[in-house]
Amino acid sequence: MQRQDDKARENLQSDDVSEESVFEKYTISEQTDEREEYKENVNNQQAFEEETQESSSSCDCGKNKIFSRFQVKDIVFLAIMSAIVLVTSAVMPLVVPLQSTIFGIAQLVTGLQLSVFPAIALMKVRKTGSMFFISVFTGIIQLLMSPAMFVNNIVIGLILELAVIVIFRGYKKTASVFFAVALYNPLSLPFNYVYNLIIGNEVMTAVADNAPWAAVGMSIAVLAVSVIGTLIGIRISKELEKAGVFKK
Amino acid sequence: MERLSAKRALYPIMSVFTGIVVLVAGLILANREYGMIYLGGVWLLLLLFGYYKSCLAVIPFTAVTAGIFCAVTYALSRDVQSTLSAAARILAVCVAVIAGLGIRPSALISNLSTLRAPRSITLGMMIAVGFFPLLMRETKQIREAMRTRGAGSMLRPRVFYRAFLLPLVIRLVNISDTLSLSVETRGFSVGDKNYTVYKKTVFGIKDGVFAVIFTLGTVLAVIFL
Repeated sequence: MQRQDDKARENLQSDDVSEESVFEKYTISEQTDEREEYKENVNNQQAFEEETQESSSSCDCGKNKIFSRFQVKDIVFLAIMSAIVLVTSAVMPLVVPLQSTIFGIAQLVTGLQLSVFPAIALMKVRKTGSMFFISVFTGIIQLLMSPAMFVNNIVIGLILELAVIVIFRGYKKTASVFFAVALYNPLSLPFNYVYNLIIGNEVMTAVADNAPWAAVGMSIAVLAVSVIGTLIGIRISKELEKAGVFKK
Repeated sequence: MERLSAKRALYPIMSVFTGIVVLVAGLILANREYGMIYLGGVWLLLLLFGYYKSCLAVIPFTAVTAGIFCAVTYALSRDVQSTLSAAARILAVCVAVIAGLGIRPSALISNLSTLRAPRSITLGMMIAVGFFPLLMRETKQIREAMRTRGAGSMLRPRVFYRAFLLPLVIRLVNISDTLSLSVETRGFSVGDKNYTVYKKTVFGIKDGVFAVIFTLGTVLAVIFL
Protein backbone atom coordinates (compact mmCIF):
# COMPACT_ATOMS: atom_id res chain seq x y z
CA MET A 1 0.00 0.00 0.00
CA GLN A 2 2.75 2.27 1.02
CA ARG A 3 4.54 1.50 -2.26
CA GLN A 4 1.43 2.32 -4.20
CA ASP A 5 1.06 5.50 -2.28
CA ASP A 6 4.68 6.44 -2.96
CA LYS A 7 4.25 5.71 -6.66
CA ALA A 8 1.12 7.75 -6.78
CA ARG A 9 2.90 10.57 -5.01
CA GLU A 10 5.81 10.34 -7.40
CA ASN A 11 3.44 10.37 -10.35
CA LEU A 12 1.64 13.29 -8.90
CA GLN A 13 4.88 15.08 -8.28
CA SER A 14 6.10 14.25 -11.75
CA ASP A 15 2.77 15.54 -13.11
CA ASP A 16 3.18 18.66 -11.03
CA VAL A 17 6.68 19.11 -12.32
CA SER A 18 5.59 18.65 -15.86
CA GLU A 19 2.75 21.07 -15.30
CA GLU A 20 5.14 23.53 -13.75
CA SER A 21 7.63 23.10 -16.56
CA VAL A 22 4.85 23.57 -19.08
CA PHE A 23 3.70 26.65 -17.22
CA GLU A 24 7.29 27.89 -16.99
CA LYS A 25 7.80 27.22 -20.66
CA TYR A 26 4.57 29.02 -21.43
CA THR A 27 5.42 31.98 -19.25
CA ILE A 28 8.92 32.15 -20.73
CA SER A 29 7.58 32.13 -24.27
CA GLU A 30 5.00 34.73 -23.28
CA GLN A 31 7.70 36.82 -21.72
CA THR A 32 9.89 36.58 -24.82
CA ASP A 33 6.90 37.59 -26.94
CA GLU A 34 6.28 40.51 -24.67
CA ARG A 35 9.93 41.42 -24.74
CA GLU A 36 9.95 41.28 -28.54
CA GLU A 37 6.80 43.31 -28.64
CA TYR A 38 8.32 45.75 -26.16
CA LYS A 39 11.51 45.89 -28.23
CA GLU A 40 9.46 46.47 -31.35
CA ASN A 41 7.53 49.21 -29.60
CA VAL A 42 10.73 50.80 -28.38
CA ASN A 43 12.19 50.61 -31.88
CA ASN A 44 9.05 52.11 -33.35
CA GLN A 45 9.07 54.83 -30.74
CA GLN A 46 12.74 55.54 -31.43
CA ALA A 47 12.07 55.65 -35.14
CA PHE A 48 9.11 57.96 -34.54
CA GLU A 49 11.17 60.18 -32.27
CA GLU A 50 13.99 60.29 -34.82
CA GLU A 51 11.48 61.15 -37.51
CA THR A 52 9.86 63.87 -35.45
CA GLN A 53 13.30 65.16 -34.48
CA GLU A 54 14.24 65.27 -38.14
CA SER A 55 11.06 67.06 -39.09
CA SER A 56 11.36 69.47 -36.17
CA SER A 57 14.99 70.06 -37.00
CA SER A 58 13.99 70.69 -40.60
CA CYS A 59 11.41 73.13 -39.24
CA ASP A 60 14.06 74.72 -37.08
CA CYS A 61 16.37 74.85 -39.95
CA GLY A 62 13.51 76.22 -41.91
CA LYS A 63 15.91 79.03 -41.24
CA ASN A 64 18.67 77.07 -43.01
CA LYS A 65 16.46 75.70 -45.77
CA ILE A 66 17.33 77.21 -49.16
CA PHE A 67 14.08 76.62 -51.02
CA SER A 68 10.61 77.10 -49.61
CA ARG A 69 7.24 77.19 -51.29
CA PHE A 70 5.74 80.50 -52.36
CA GLN A 71 2.28 81.31 -51.04
CA VAL A 72 -0.37 83.45 -52.70
CA LYS A 73 0.35 86.36 -50.34
CA ASP A 74 4.05 86.28 -51.31
CA ILE A 75 3.25 86.39 -55.01
CA VAL A 76 0.74 89.21 -54.47
CA PHE A 77 3.22 91.33 -52.52
CA LEU A 78 6.02 90.77 -55.04
CA ALA A 79 3.66 91.64 -57.91
CA ILE A 80 2.55 94.86 -56.19
CA MET A 81 6.16 95.88 -55.60
CA SER A 82 6.96 95.10 -59.25
CA ALA A 83 4.05 97.30 -60.34
CA ILE A 84 5.47 100.16 -58.26
CA VAL A 85 8.91 99.62 -59.76
CA LEU A 86 7.37 99.80 -63.24
CA VAL A 87 5.32 102.92 -62.53
CA THR A 88 8.19 104.81 -60.91
CA SER A 89 10.59 103.81 -63.70
CA ALA A 90 8.35 105.48 -66.27
CA VAL A 91 10.81 108.39 -66.36
CA MET A 92 13.30 106.21 -68.23
CA PRO A 93 11.91 106.73 -71.78
CA LEU A 94 12.47 110.48 -71.28
CA VAL A 95 16.23 110.01 -71.00
CA VAL A 96 16.63 107.28 -73.65
CA PRO A 97 17.80 109.76 -76.35
CA LEU A 98 20.48 111.01 -73.93
CA GLN A 99 21.98 107.52 -73.69
CA SER A 100 24.04 108.18 -76.79
CA THR A 101 25.82 111.09 -75.04
CA ILE A 102 25.78 110.16 -71.32
CA PHE A 103 26.76 106.63 -70.37
CA GLY A 104 24.36 104.94 -67.93
CA ILE A 105 21.93 107.86 -67.63
CA ALA A 106 18.90 105.53 -67.76
CA GLN A 107 20.27 103.44 -64.88
CA LEU A 108 21.04 106.57 -62.86
CA VAL A 109 17.51 107.99 -63.04
CA THR A 110 15.93 104.64 -62.15
CA GLY A 111 18.52 103.70 -59.50
CA LEU A 112 16.48 104.68 -56.44
CA GLN A 113 13.20 103.14 -57.59
CA LEU A 114 14.88 99.90 -58.59
CA SER A 115 16.48 99.50 -55.18
CA VAL A 116 14.05 100.89 -52.56
CA PHE A 117 11.02 98.80 -53.54
CA PRO A 118 12.79 95.50 -54.33
CA ALA A 119 14.61 95.83 -50.97
CA ILE A 120 11.26 96.15 -49.16
CA ALA A 121 9.90 93.20 -51.16
CA LEU A 122 12.86 90.97 -50.32
CA MET A 123 12.83 91.99 -46.65
CA LYS A 124 9.23 90.78 -46.42
CA VAL A 125 9.37 87.73 -48.71
CA ARG A 126 12.71 86.19 -47.72
CA LYS A 127 12.45 83.21 -50.04
CA THR A 128 14.82 82.03 -52.72
CA GLY A 129 13.41 83.08 -56.07
CA SER A 130 11.87 86.36 -54.87
CA MET A 131 14.33 88.44 -56.89
CA PHE A 132 13.67 86.32 -59.95
CA PHE A 133 9.92 86.78 -59.53
CA ILE A 134 10.38 90.57 -59.40
CA SER A 135 12.50 90.37 -62.57
CA VAL A 136 9.85 88.27 -64.32
CA PHE A 137 6.91 90.49 -63.30
CA THR A 138 8.68 93.67 -64.38
CA GLY A 139 10.24 91.98 -67.41
CA ILE A 140 7.02 90.56 -68.85
CA ILE A 141 5.45 94.01 -68.96
CA GLN A 142 8.69 95.36 -70.48
CA LEU A 143 8.59 92.55 -73.05
CA LEU A 144 5.73 94.36 -74.75
CA MET A 145 7.80 97.56 -74.93
CA SER A 146 11.36 96.36 -75.33
CA PRO A 147 12.37 92.68 -75.73
CA ALA A 148 16.01 93.53 -74.91
CA MET A 149 15.01 94.89 -71.49
CA PHE A 150 13.09 91.69 -70.80
CA VAL A 151 16.15 89.53 -71.55
CA ASN A 152 18.29 91.91 -69.48
CA ASN A 153 15.95 91.59 -66.48
CA ILE A 154 15.64 87.82 -66.63
CA VAL A 155 19.39 87.22 -67.02
CA ILE A 156 20.29 89.58 -64.16
CA GLY A 157 17.57 88.10 -61.94
CA LEU A 158 18.92 84.59 -62.56
CA ILE A 159 22.55 85.60 -61.96
CA LEU A 160 21.68 87.31 -58.67
CA GLU A 161 19.56 84.39 -57.46
CA LEU A 162 22.41 81.96 -58.16
CA ALA A 163 24.92 84.25 -56.45
CA VAL A 164 22.69 84.56 -53.36
CA ILE A 165 22.20 80.78 -53.19
CA VAL A 166 25.94 80.12 -53.47
CA ILE A 167 27.14 82.88 -51.12
CA PHE A 168 24.32 83.31 -48.58
CA ARG A 169 22.10 80.20 -49.08
CA GLY A 170 18.96 82.35 -49.35
CA TYR A 171 17.64 85.69 -48.15
CA LYS A 172 17.57 84.96 -44.41
CA LYS A 173 20.32 87.47 -43.72
CA THR A 174 19.84 91.17 -44.41
CA ALA A 175 23.29 91.18 -46.03
CA SER A 176 21.98 88.88 -48.78
CA VAL A 177 19.09 91.28 -49.47
CA PHE A 178 21.55 94.17 -49.61
CA PHE A 179 23.84 92.25 -51.97
CA ALA A 180 21.08 91.24 -54.40
CA VAL A 181 19.27 94.57 -54.55
CA ALA A 182 22.34 96.83 -54.62
CA LEU A 183 23.67 94.93 -57.65
CA TYR A 184 20.35 94.58 -59.51
CA ASN A 185 20.47 97.92 -61.34
CA PRO A 186 24.27 98.36 -61.77
CA LEU A 187 24.53 94.92 -63.40
CA SER A 188 22.47 96.17 -66.33
CA LEU A 189 25.34 98.52 -67.29
CA PRO A 190 27.76 95.79 -68.47
CA PHE A 191 24.82 93.85 -69.89
CA ASN A 192 23.73 96.83 -72.01
CA TYR A 193 27.31 97.42 -73.15
CA VAL A 194 27.70 93.78 -74.26
CA TYR A 195 24.26 93.85 -75.91
CA ASN A 196 25.16 96.98 -77.90
CA LEU A 197 28.50 95.44 -78.81
CA ILE A 198 26.75 92.32 -80.13
CA ILE A 199 24.16 94.18 -82.17
CA GLY A 200 26.81 96.56 -83.46
CA ASN A 201 25.31 99.73 -82.00
CA GLU A 202 28.54 101.79 -82.20
CA VAL A 203 26.93 104.98 -80.87
CA MET A 204 26.14 103.38 -77.54
CA THR A 205 29.48 101.64 -77.15
CA ALA A 206 31.36 104.72 -78.34
CA VAL A 207 30.05 106.69 -75.33
CA ALA A 208 31.98 104.37 -73.03
CA ASP A 209 34.94 103.84 -75.39
CA ASN A 210 35.59 107.54 -76.03
CA ALA A 211 35.40 108.60 -72.39
CA PRO A 212 36.21 105.55 -70.25
CA TRP A 213 36.78 107.58 -67.07
CA ALA A 214 33.41 109.26 -67.43
CA ALA A 215 31.85 105.80 -67.88
CA VAL A 216 33.61 104.56 -64.74
CA GLY A 217 32.41 107.65 -62.85
CA MET A 218 28.83 107.09 -63.99
CA SER A 219 29.03 103.41 -63.05
CA ILE A 220 30.20 104.37 -59.54
CA ALA A 221 27.36 106.92 -59.34
CA VAL A 222 24.81 104.26 -60.37
CA LEU A 223 26.21 101.86 -57.76
CA ALA A 224 26.14 104.59 -55.09
CA VAL A 225 22.51 105.46 -55.85
CA SER A 226 21.58 101.77 -55.74
CA VAL A 227 23.35 101.30 -52.41
CA ILE A 228 21.60 104.34 -50.92
CA GLY A 229 18.24 103.12 -52.24
CA THR A 230 18.81 99.65 -50.81
CA LEU A 231 19.72 101.08 -47.40
CA ILE A 232 16.57 103.23 -47.45
CA GLY A 233 14.48 100.16 -48.38
CA ILE A 234 16.01 98.09 -45.59
CA ARG A 235 15.48 100.92 -43.10
CA ILE A 236 11.81 101.27 -44.09
CA SER A 237 11.33 97.51 -43.72
CA LYS A 238 12.93 97.46 -40.28
CA GLU A 239 10.72 100.33 -39.14
CA LEU A 240 7.64 98.53 -40.43
CA GLU A 241 8.75 95.27 -38.82
CA LYS A 242 9.12 97.07 -35.52
CA ALA A 243 5.70 98.65 -35.92
CA GLY A 244 4.19 95.22 -36.66
CA VAL A 245 3.07 96.08 -40.17
CA PHE A 246 4.97 93.16 -41.69
CA LYS A 247 2.84 90.21 -40.62
CA LYS A 248 4.47 86.83 -41.16
CA MET B 1 -0.99 100.66 -73.21
CA GLU B 2 -4.71 99.87 -73.33
CA ARG B 3 -5.17 103.00 -75.46
CA LEU B 4 -2.78 101.71 -78.10
CA SER B 5 -4.11 98.16 -78.27
CA ALA B 6 -5.64 96.92 -81.51
CA LYS B 7 -9.38 96.14 -81.55
CA ARG B 8 -8.81 92.72 -83.07
CA ALA B 9 -5.25 91.98 -82.08
CA LEU B 10 -3.34 88.95 -83.26
CA TYR B 11 -2.69 85.87 -81.12
CA PRO B 12 -0.85 87.47 -78.14
CA ILE B 13 2.09 85.06 -77.86
CA MET B 14 2.59 85.32 -81.63
CA SER B 15 2.65 89.13 -81.33
CA VAL B 16 5.40 88.91 -78.74
CA PHE B 17 7.43 86.52 -80.90
CA THR B 18 6.86 88.80 -83.90
CA GLY B 19 8.49 91.62 -81.93
CA ILE B 20 11.51 89.47 -81.06
CA VAL B 21 11.91 88.22 -84.65
CA VAL B 22 11.61 91.77 -86.06
CA LEU B 23 14.28 92.98 -83.64
CA VAL B 24 16.72 90.19 -84.51
CA ALA B 25 16.09 90.33 -88.27
CA GLY B 26 16.16 94.15 -88.25
CA LEU B 27 19.54 94.16 -86.52
CA ILE B 28 20.90 91.57 -88.95
CA LEU B 29 19.71 93.64 -91.91
CA ALA B 30 20.78 97.01 -90.40
CA ASN B 31 24.16 96.99 -92.17
CA ARG B 32 22.69 96.02 -95.55
CA GLU B 33 21.77 98.55 -98.18
CA TYR B 34 18.05 97.67 -98.45
CA GLY B 35 17.55 96.62 -94.82
CA MET B 36 15.08 99.41 -94.15
CA ILE B 37 12.70 98.01 -96.81
CA TYR B 38 12.10 95.00 -94.56
CA LEU B 39 11.26 97.22 -91.58
CA GLY B 40 8.95 99.34 -93.74
CA GLY B 41 7.23 96.16 -94.94
CA VAL B 42 6.67 94.92 -91.39
CA TRP B 43 5.29 98.32 -90.35
CA LEU B 44 2.85 98.21 -93.29
CA LEU B 45 1.84 94.63 -92.54
CA LEU B 46 1.07 95.46 -88.90
CA LEU B 47 -0.86 98.54 -90.03
CA LEU B 48 -2.99 96.40 -92.35
CA PHE B 49 -3.65 93.85 -89.59
CA GLY B 50 -5.24 96.48 -87.32
CA TYR B 51 -2.25 97.81 -85.37
CA TYR B 52 -2.65 101.33 -86.73
CA LYS B 53 -2.78 103.02 -83.29
CA SER B 54 0.58 101.65 -82.16
CA CYS B 55 2.03 102.06 -85.69
CA LEU B 56 1.28 105.78 -85.56
CA ALA B 57 2.19 106.18 -81.88
CA VAL B 58 5.81 105.08 -82.38
CA ILE B 59 6.49 107.60 -85.17
CA PRO B 60 7.25 110.67 -82.99
CA PHE B 61 9.44 108.70 -80.57
CA THR B 62 11.28 107.04 -83.48
CA ALA B 63 11.83 110.39 -85.19
CA VAL B 64 13.32 112.04 -82.07
CA THR B 65 15.49 109.07 -81.03
CA ALA B 66 16.66 108.27 -84.56
CA GLY B 67 17.41 111.96 -85.15
CA ILE B 68 19.64 112.23 -82.07
CA PHE B 69 21.38 108.90 -82.72
CA CYS B 70 22.01 109.75 -86.38
CA ALA B 71 23.37 113.20 -85.48
CA VAL B 72 25.77 111.73 -82.91
CA THR B 73 26.85 108.93 -85.29
CA TYR B 74 27.48 111.36 -88.13
CA ALA B 75 29.39 113.71 -85.81
CA LEU B 76 31.60 110.84 -84.67
CA SER B 77 32.16 109.01 -87.97
CA ARG B 78 31.41 111.52 -90.79
CA ASP B 79 30.17 108.49 -92.72
CA VAL B 80 26.70 108.34 -94.34
CA GLN B 81 26.57 104.52 -94.44
CA SER B 82 27.22 104.08 -90.70
CA THR B 83 24.67 106.86 -89.99
CA LEU B 84 22.07 104.96 -92.04
CA SER B 85 22.96 101.75 -90.18
CA ALA B 86 22.42 103.52 -86.84
CA ALA B 87 19.04 104.77 -88.10
CA ALA B 88 18.11 101.23 -89.19
CA ARG B 89 18.96 99.85 -85.74
CA ILE B 90 16.78 102.42 -83.98
CA LEU B 91 14.04 101.73 -86.50
CA ALA B 92 14.33 97.97 -85.82
CA VAL B 93 13.86 98.55 -82.09
CA CYS B 94 10.86 100.84 -82.68
CA VAL B 95 9.13 98.55 -85.22
CA ALA B 96 9.72 95.55 -82.90
CA VAL B 97 7.77 97.35 -80.18
CA ILE B 98 4.59 97.82 -82.32
CA ALA B 99 3.32 94.24 -82.09
CA GLY B 100 3.73 94.21 -78.30
CA LEU B 101 2.12 97.62 -77.83
CA GLY B 102 -0.91 96.53 -79.84
CA ILE B 103 -1.98 93.72 -77.52
CA ARG B 104 -3.79 94.11 -74.22
CA PRO B 105 -1.80 92.80 -71.23
CA SER B 106 -4.97 91.01 -70.09
CA ALA B 107 -5.10 89.17 -73.45
CA LEU B 108 -1.50 88.03 -72.99
CA ILE B 109 -2.28 86.78 -69.46
CA SER B 110 -5.36 84.97 -70.73
CA ASN B 111 -3.27 83.43 -73.51
CA LEU B 112 -0.64 82.26 -71.01
CA SER B 113 -3.38 80.80 -68.80
CA THR B 114 -4.86 78.95 -71.80
CA LEU B 115 -1.40 77.50 -72.45
CA ARG B 116 -1.25 76.42 -68.78
CA ALA B 117 1.64 78.68 -67.80
CA PRO B 118 2.56 78.54 -64.06
CA ARG B 119 -0.22 80.10 -61.99
CA SER B 120 2.23 82.12 -59.93
CA ILE B 121 3.45 83.92 -63.07
CA THR B 122 0.00 84.67 -64.50
CA LEU B 123 -1.36 85.72 -61.09
CA GLY B 124 1.59 88.06 -60.55
CA MET B 125 1.18 89.53 -64.03
CA MET B 126 -2.53 90.08 -63.49
CA ILE B 127 -1.86 91.97 -60.27
CA ALA B 128 1.07 93.95 -61.69
CA VAL B 129 -0.99 95.07 -64.70
CA GLY B 130 -4.20 95.82 -62.83
CA PHE B 131 -2.50 97.67 -60.01
CA PHE B 132 -1.54 100.87 -61.89
CA PRO B 133 -4.85 102.78 -61.45
CA LEU B 134 -5.09 101.76 -57.78
CA LEU B 135 -1.54 102.95 -57.19
CA MET B 136 -2.30 106.33 -58.75
CA ARG B 137 -5.35 106.71 -56.51
CA GLU B 138 -3.38 105.82 -53.39
CA THR B 139 -0.61 108.27 -54.26
CA LYS B 140 -3.18 111.02 -54.78
CA GLN B 141 -4.82 110.29 -51.42
CA ILE B 142 -1.50 110.38 -49.56
CA ARG B 143 -0.59 113.68 -51.18
CA GLU B 144 -3.98 115.11 -50.21
CA ALA B 145 -3.43 113.91 -46.64
CA MET B 146 -0.01 115.59 -46.66
CA ARG B 147 -1.58 118.84 -47.82
CA THR B 148 -4.28 118.63 -45.13
CA ARG B 149 -1.69 118.08 -42.41
CA GLY B 150 0.51 120.83 -43.80
CA ALA B 151 3.43 118.44 -44.10
CA GLY B 152 5.40 120.74 -46.37
CA SER B 153 7.16 120.26 -49.67
CA MET B 154 7.80 116.78 -51.07
CA LEU B 155 11.20 117.98 -52.24
CA ARG B 156 12.47 117.93 -48.65
CA PRO B 157 13.90 114.43 -48.10
CA ARG B 158 12.68 114.14 -44.52
CA VAL B 159 9.11 115.12 -45.43
CA PHE B 160 9.19 112.81 -48.45
CA TYR B 161 10.35 109.88 -46.30
CA ARG B 162 8.10 110.37 -43.26
CA ALA B 163 4.97 111.82 -44.81
CA PHE B 164 4.92 110.13 -48.22
CA LEU B 165 7.11 107.03 -48.56
CA LEU B 166 6.31 105.36 -45.24
CA PRO B 167 2.50 105.82 -45.50
CA LEU B 168 2.65 104.61 -49.10
CA VAL B 169 4.49 101.41 -48.17
CA ILE B 170 2.15 100.79 -45.22
CA ARG B 171 -0.85 101.19 -47.53
CA LEU B 172 0.75 98.82 -50.04
CA VAL B 173 1.35 96.17 -47.37
CA ASN B 174 -2.26 96.46 -46.19
CA ILE B 175 -3.60 96.31 -49.76
CA SER B 176 -1.39 93.29 -50.41
CA ASP B 177 -2.76 91.46 -47.35
CA THR B 178 -6.37 92.23 -48.29
CA LEU B 179 -5.79 91.32 -51.93
CA SER B 180 -4.13 88.00 -51.13
CA LEU B 181 -7.00 87.07 -48.79
CA SER B 182 -9.49 88.05 -51.45
CA VAL B 183 -7.61 86.10 -54.12
CA GLU B 184 -7.44 83.01 -51.91
CA THR B 185 -11.14 83.11 -51.06
CA ARG B 186 -11.90 83.14 -54.78
CA GLY B 187 -10.10 79.84 -55.20
CA PHE B 188 -6.76 81.01 -56.54
CA SER B 189 -3.77 78.93 -55.55
CA VAL B 190 -0.21 78.71 -56.76
CA GLY B 191 -0.09 74.91 -56.67
CA ASP B 192 -0.58 72.52 -59.58
CA LYS B 193 -4.37 72.58 -59.51
CA ASN B 194 -6.81 72.65 -62.39
CA TYR B 195 -8.48 75.96 -63.11
CA THR B 196 -11.00 77.36 -65.57
CA VAL B 197 -10.04 79.97 -68.15
CA TYR B 198 -13.15 81.99 -68.92
CA LYS B 199 -11.86 83.81 -71.96
CA LYS B 200 -9.79 81.41 -74.01
CA THR B 201 -7.62 82.81 -76.77
CA VAL B 202 -7.77 80.81 -79.97
CA PHE B 203 -5.39 80.83 -82.92
CA GLY B 204 -7.62 81.97 -85.81
CA ILE B 205 -7.39 82.16 -89.60
CA LYS B 206 -6.25 85.79 -89.45
CA ASP B 207 -3.37 84.77 -87.18
CA GLY B 208 -2.42 82.00 -89.58
CA VAL B 209 -2.42 84.33 -92.59
CA PHE B 210 -0.27 86.86 -90.70
CA ALA B 211 2.15 84.14 -89.56
CA VAL B 212 2.61 82.86 -93.14
CA ILE B 213 3.13 86.33 -94.70
CA PHE B 214 5.45 87.47 -91.89
CA THR B 215 7.59 84.31 -91.87
CA LEU B 216 7.91 84.25 -95.67
CA GLY B 217 8.75 87.95 -95.78
CA THR B 218 11.39 87.68 -93.04
CA VAL B 219 13.08 84.62 -94.58
CA LEU B 220 13.12 86.19 -98.05
CA ALA B 221 14.44 89.50 -96.67
CA VAL B 222 17.29 87.84 -94.72
CA ILE B 223 18.26 85.76 -97.80
CA PHE B 224 17.87 88.26 -100.63
CA LEU B 225 18.18 91.81 -99.23
